[in-house]
Amino acid sequence: LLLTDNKLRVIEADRVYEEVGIPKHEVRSTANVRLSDPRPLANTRESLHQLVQSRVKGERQVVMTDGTISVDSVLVQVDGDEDEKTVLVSWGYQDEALGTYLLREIELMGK
Amino acid sequence: MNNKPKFYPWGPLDITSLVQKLTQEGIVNAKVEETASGYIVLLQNEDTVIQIEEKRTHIFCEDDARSDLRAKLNRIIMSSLNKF
Repeated sequence: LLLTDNKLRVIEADRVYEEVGIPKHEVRSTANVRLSDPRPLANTRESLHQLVQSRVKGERQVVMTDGTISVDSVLVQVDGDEDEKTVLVSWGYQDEALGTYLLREIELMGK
Repeated sequence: MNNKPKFYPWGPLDITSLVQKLTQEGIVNAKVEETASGYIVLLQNEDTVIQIEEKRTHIFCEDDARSDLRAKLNRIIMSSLNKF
């Protein structure tokens, strides 16, 4: 709810920055998870893609570009070989719920 | 899943306030280094680096079993920023 020029308007919270002219501060978290998964990298990547997809609904699009799985501010990258893999999970504060959920699930995959 | 954030942060982060709050929360080993674009806060015992610039803050956790630490750091960082 924004009051400007004596007018009351309902706008998306993210649009307040430009409407009021205040600089946004982006807060991002990144974590590395070690994964013991003996399958080829492509299979692990596909499992991670399915995990992300299973949690995303509505208009949000899960994109896979150059092996990086992304949806909005969330990024999931896996690297490594059959012996050990590392998964990088990164998300902006606005996607905290999805980011922390994915991190927890990926940690469980590695156990 | 489409959970909206509780806060929308804005403006630069106050590094002095951040370090004070880290200490108050028991994170006493913070080492602050000035960089060309801001600061890097090294938390050696926690295996964590916080990179701070005027318009962004980035938390890097190496250890993968520290969800309580991440939540604590997020809370401290948010409390050191303006927000609506």
